[in-house]
Amino acid sequence: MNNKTKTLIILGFWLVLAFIFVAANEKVFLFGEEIRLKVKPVDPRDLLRGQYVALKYDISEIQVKKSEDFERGKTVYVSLKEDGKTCTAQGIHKIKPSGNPYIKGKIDFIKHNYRQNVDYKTLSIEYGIENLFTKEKEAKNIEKRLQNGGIAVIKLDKSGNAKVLRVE
Amino acid sequence: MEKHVKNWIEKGYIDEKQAGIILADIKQEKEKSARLAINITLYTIGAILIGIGVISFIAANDWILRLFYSRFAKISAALIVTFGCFALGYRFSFVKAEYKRLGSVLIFLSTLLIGGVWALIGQIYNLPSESNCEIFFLWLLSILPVAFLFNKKSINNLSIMLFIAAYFNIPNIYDLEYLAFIVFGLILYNFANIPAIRRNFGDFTPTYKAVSTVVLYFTILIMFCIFENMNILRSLGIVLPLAMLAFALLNFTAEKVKDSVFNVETLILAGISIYGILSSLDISTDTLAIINVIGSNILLASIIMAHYHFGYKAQNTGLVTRANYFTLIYISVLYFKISYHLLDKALFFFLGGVILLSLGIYLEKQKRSLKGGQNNEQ
Repeated sequence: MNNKTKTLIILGFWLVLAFIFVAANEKVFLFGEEIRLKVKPVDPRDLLRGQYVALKYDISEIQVKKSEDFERGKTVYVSLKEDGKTCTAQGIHKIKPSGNPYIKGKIDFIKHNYRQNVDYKTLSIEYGIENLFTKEKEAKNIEKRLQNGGIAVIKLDKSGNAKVLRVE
Repeated sequence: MEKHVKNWIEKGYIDEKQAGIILADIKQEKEKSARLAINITLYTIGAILIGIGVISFIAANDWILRLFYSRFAKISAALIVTFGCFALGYRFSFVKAEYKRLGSVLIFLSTLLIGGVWALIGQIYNLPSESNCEIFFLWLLSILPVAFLFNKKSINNLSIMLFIAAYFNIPNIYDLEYLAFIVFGLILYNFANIPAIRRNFGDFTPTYKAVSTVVLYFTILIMFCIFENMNILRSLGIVLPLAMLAFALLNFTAEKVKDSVFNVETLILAGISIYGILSSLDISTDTLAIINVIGSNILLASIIMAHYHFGYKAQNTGLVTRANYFTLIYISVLYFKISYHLLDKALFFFLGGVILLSLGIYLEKQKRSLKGGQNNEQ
């Protein structure tokens, strides 16, 4: 194999990788439905990709009964219902629910409640929409703006994959 | 070399005229390699600076990227710059052969830029920071063909760094505790022992082996000296060391030319994998502690002895130096572990110091004798 062929193989390979990477993320933008979720900000910084606003949603923490069997790191589906302009969580499922739109997430950790009279534990869930990349100044402005809460515009596809578009 | 030439004149092997020609050639060669070294250093520093510049430029969401309104335009622009850099590298390396080194540096730069492209895509689609692992793996996947097709050692070293970054960014990897490091070391060493890589990429394998040996050695040492009871997440644990054992055995079966180095390596790799399997089994903590003490000591001693044996056999000072460090650390750990509670503190430190100094001097002498042997052979 000569060097020209090797170069073409590498460039072709990079192009295919770029196409797959972009297509995998683009499909939610193209075929997703727009929904709005209530949001409040956390702290910003990502060493690899610069400034971003870390977002936390109302649906980031969901309470379930102590007896319900949920494991850290497992995928869950949160069904959503419209509540005015925004969507809220209606239920949490281990398999894809039918009917309402749902968003796919992963249990990041479980906050156990050891008080005797309380029959719930809190699941902290990540949906992959917790970062919004933006310019440093803009990130700070967004943070200030969201100090009392705000709304994030999300694209959600039929399989529950979501991408954050912007915050309002 | 000048000393040797004088020696040759004295012994009558060559005359003054021949000596003059040899010395002039050596001088010319020295000047040429000094010039080359400066060029390569400048090219490399330049390429790294440009690479860092592009990545920080993307990381900072700078204003120029804002000019490209569409996300496709941004991605295309980044890809065009990267492809252009690679194509120029190819041209200077293989078409216009007089700028070979510049070509190599441009190819290296393009392997940095492609990482910038993946980071940019991650940024455009607001991928969560947990996806850093995916980005590092994608970057690694992109540069591996460059390293292997063009046999580039520098890009291979970059790929090892990316593998480290990607592996240790896998979500929940630290749930595996020590096993995460053991599996990391085993993957890297077994990869270096794949017959096709052993045969065709002899320049690459020492780096893989050095990195994985250091990681494996220190993990086993820490497991032995600090925590006597291993606490590995068992359900996840057993699959990975089993897979690593299968990997080592597969390499052993596939390799047709088995030399003694390869046989010993396979034996130690299989031993470490079995150690990982045993530590992942659902057995009593007392039994685990016994497995830990016996297994880790056998493995540590095997690693050190294999380094000494093959280091002296192949006259490889690098291996012997590593073995010396491993021995000193091992002895120190053993000494601290066993004697700290037994001896009076003053005596403990005094005796420990004397033992370590004597051992250090002995090992240094051994290494010098090896170096001396090498010089005489030259």
